[in-house]
Order: sequence, then structure tokens, then C-alpha cells
Amino acid sequence: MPITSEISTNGSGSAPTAITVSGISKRYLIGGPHNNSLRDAIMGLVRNPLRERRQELWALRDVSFDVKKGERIGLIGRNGAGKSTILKILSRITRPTKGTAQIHGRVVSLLEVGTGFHSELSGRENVYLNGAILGMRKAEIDAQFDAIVEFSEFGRFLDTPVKHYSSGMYMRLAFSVAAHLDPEVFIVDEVLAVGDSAFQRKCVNKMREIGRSGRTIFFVSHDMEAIKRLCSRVIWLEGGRIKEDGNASEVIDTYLQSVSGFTAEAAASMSIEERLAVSGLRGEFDNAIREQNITALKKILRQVYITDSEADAVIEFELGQYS
Amino acid sequence: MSERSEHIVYIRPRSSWASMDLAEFWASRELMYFLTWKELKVRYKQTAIGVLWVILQPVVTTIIFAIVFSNVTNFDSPGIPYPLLVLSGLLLWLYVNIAIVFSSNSLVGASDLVTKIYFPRLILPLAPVFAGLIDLAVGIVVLFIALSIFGLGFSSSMVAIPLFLLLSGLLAAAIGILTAALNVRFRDIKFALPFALQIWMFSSPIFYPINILSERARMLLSFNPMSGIISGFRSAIFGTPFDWPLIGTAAAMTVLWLAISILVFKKMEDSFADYI
Repeated sequence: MPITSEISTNGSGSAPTAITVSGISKRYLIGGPHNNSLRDAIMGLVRNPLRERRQELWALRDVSFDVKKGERIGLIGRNGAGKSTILKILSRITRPTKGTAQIHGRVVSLLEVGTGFHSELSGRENVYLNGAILGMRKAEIDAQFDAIVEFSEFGRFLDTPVKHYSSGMYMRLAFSVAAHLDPEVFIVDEVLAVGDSAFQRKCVNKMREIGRSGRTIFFVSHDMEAIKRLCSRVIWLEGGRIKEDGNASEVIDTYLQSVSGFTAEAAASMSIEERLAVSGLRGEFDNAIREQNITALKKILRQVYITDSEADAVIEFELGQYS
Repeated sequence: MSERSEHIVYIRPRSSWASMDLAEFWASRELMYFLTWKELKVRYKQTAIGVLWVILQPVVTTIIFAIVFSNVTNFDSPGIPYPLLVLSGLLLWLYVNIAIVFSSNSLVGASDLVTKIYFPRLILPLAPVFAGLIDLAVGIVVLFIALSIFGLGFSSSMVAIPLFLLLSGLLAAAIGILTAALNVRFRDIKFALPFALQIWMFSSPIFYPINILSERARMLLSFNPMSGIISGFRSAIFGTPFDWPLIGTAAAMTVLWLAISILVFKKMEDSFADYI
């Protein structure tokens, strides 16, 4: 049992540490020769090493923070800010180039709903397979099986191969498995875009319930509303560094202001057209409409202070116009 | 705070030494079981004759070879009818061959798992090696049926059969692990492997008994672990004398390959998610 983990100097509300991240940096080598074949690897040794220098990309630079046990932390930032990289490092999928981290307790990371589901297997079989892949014991899955099925609102299709399910059903079952894992530290990436909005609400509630029971949650999403509902603290990453770390709604407001170029109060007196124009997101918005990419559209609209339900209405209107 | 025994995960930069976390590997045995079971379950789904493929392949190949070679040359060895010689060698070879083919693709084929979830990666190439054992068991039942058709009975040497199944499993694991890891970085494996397996097949005593070879050829072939494994397997089945030096060499080579493979795998493991 480590002594260091017990030390906490955070006044009265001191809780033991769940995650300690100290000075983590991650470098990716991009461009140059891709050593994806033996020939390239050998040629790379023979050739002048100065000629085809691979470019370095630092996805994370010297990131440090502590997470207390039971804290629910949201991670925000633009694409390429390093959010996924930090999740991958904490999930032990890839290693940091520099720095260290410690996680106390069993970690389950859910970077994608339904990873490891096999389309030829039935729902029942996939619950067991997926549970095992996520680190559950068979006995634990047995014990939780009914709860998993009930949460997914599934029932009678359980013995049908999942390839016959709609993708919504499939995702619901997958989220249910993950939600019943009972880890001490739960790392979650963008997985709440599952099923219809009623089920999404159910997922967020389930996550809050997990959080209330003293579990530590590390949550990445582009859905600022979901983060506000779930998290008390938010870390904002930019260019691989921590830009801000603090109270959830304050950090989110500053973040939205920086991406859109105006504040929530200012937004209230502007039309959607004006907001898109001021934030310079008009082009991206038009592109997304053309590609009918709903996810991208929602993300853009969120950045100019448009709530979920408003966004749905705007998207429906715009797509209706287009088709 | 210790309702449960505290478990700490340490995350550090890549270490220069390959390390083997046996405790973690043991803790994941249920996942090993589930992935093996999935491998079996999925393999013959949506095939018309399903598990019959396991029988059809060795039996038809044996019949073809028996017909062709009985007209061309005489490969008879004392006490072993040629079709049984072929079938016994072929069963082990097909097991090793198929396990390696599936293993070598196990990491690349599961890139979604490798990039999204952490678990001991070694489980992925091992699952096809375990799954193949079931096919092999079916094949051995067929072999026993063939033995009785040819009027051969049981011999006490048959207790040694599991030893040679174990050796062939370890050999398949060794080459499977190695090719799976290399395949992540070098997709050349995809092209090189079928070719290499073909050469390997012809330099293994599958369609011929090893004693028809010259002394020198036999020396060379003893570096191929399949020689000792197949030769020993046949001695166990047909009750002919065991060639222990040959078998010993095969066992040593197998263990050596396994050690090399695990080292290479562990060394490359940390960067799988970055390259896959």
C-alpha cells in the first residue's frame, strides 16, 4: 500500500488521490518515410539520415495534474489539442515519451462504445465477450447480466446475432455493459452520443450515479452541456498544454468565448447567422451541411452558444432546405 | 480507503528492457478463454458445411497424395501404410499452419481493440493457437478411425501423443507471436508468410518418412522443429522406435524460438497502437 497516495493537503475536503499525472509529454513522428514495410526500414538505415527527417509532433507537452478520488473531470479542447492522447496514455494504450502517471484502483476506459463487439455473435454472447475484454470476470458478468440487459431495454432480441440489430440498439447494449463495470476510475470518451435523446439522458444519469458512488470519472466530450451536467472540474487543453484547469462552468465559458469570439451574454443579442459570421465558423458550417454531417454540425453550433434542442431545429431546417 | 486491496497502475515511458508481467497475464486467463471461444464460434459461421472443413482438408489431401505417390514411387516405411503416414503428418502440419496464419493477422485484424482497450496483447496471437487445438482433436479422432480401417490397433506408446501436441502448440505459438508482432510494423509479412509456410511444408517430413533422406539431408532437416515433432508423433501412434536426439533438438529449437518471439513481441508491444 503506497503512503504517498494518502497525502493530501487540500484543506477540509481532502480526499485521496486517484490519478497523478506528472510532466507527461508525447511525441509522434509524422511524415518522412513510413516504416511500414521492411524495404523502407532497411532503406532508412542505408540512406543519409539527414535527408528524409521525420517531423516531430508533440501531442502533449509537460502536462501535470492531480485528480482526487470521486472527482468528475471533463477534458475539453479543439481537435488536435491532445485530449485523445491523454486518454490513450491513461488507458495504457500508448506510452508517454516523457513523464509518469499513477492511477489508484481498477481503471476501465471506454474510448469507443462497442469495441470488441462481434457482429456474428448474439447479444448475450457479446455481453460476455465485451465484459471480458473490458476487464470483467465471468462471475461479475453473471451477477450483473440481468441489470445490463434491463438497462439496455433489450430483452427478447438477446439471442439474435448483433448484425441484425440497428446500430442504435447495438450501441445501447454496448454502453450498458460498460456502465456496469464498477471500476474505481472510469475513463470515457465521447460515448454519450448513443441512441436517442432519452437514452442519452439515461446514460448521463447513470454516469452521475457512478460518480456519486465515489468513482472517479475522466470524461471527454464536445458536448459542453453534458460536461456541465456531469463534471465539477474541467481541464482545457490547447496545443498539448493545459490552458486552464478549474471550475467546470467557468472554464467552459472561457473556452466557448475563445472559440466563438464572443460571450454567452453577447450571443443572446445576436442571430445565429451573426454568431456564425463573427466566429468565422460559417465556412465549416456550410461544409458540414453539404456533407450532411450531423455530428460536425452539432459541434459547430455548440461553439456559438446554441443548445442541443435549438441545434436540432436548426439542422432540420438547414438540411430540409438543402434536399 | 482500502475496501479493496489497492491496485496501482504505473504509467512510464517505454522501458528499454522487455518485461513480462506474468501476474497480469494470469489474471487475464478468462479473456483468453473468451477470445478462444469467439475464434472458434466465428470461424465456421456462415459456412455451409461448418466444422466438416476440419475433416475434409486433411482427408482429401491424404487421398490425393496416396493415389499420386503410390503410382510414382515407394515411400513405404515399415509398419506404416502410406495414407496413414501422410494423414498423421498432415494433421500436425495443418494445425501449426492454420494457427500461424490466424495468429499473424491477430493484431492487425483487431486494430480496433489494440487502439481502444488495454489488455495483455499477447492474448491475441495465442487465441488461434488454443482454438486450433479443438480442430486438431477432431482430426485425431479421424486418424483413429483411419487406423482401425487399416486394421491397426492401439499401442502403449500412444501415451506420448500429448507431448507432441504440446510441442506443436508451442511451435505454432512461437511463430504466431513473432509474425503477429512483425506484421504490425512490416506488412511484408502478409506476402512473405504464405510463401515461407509452403517452403516449410516441403522441408517437413509430411508426405515422406524422414528415414528415406540421406544422412546430410536429415542433418539439415533436424533444424526444422517440425521434423522431430512429426517423427515423434508418428512413433507414438504407430509404436515405432522414437528418435530421441531428433525430438530433443526439436524441443530445444521450439523453446528457443518461443523465447525469441516473446522478447521481440514485448519489445514491440508498446508501440503497437502507434503503428497499427
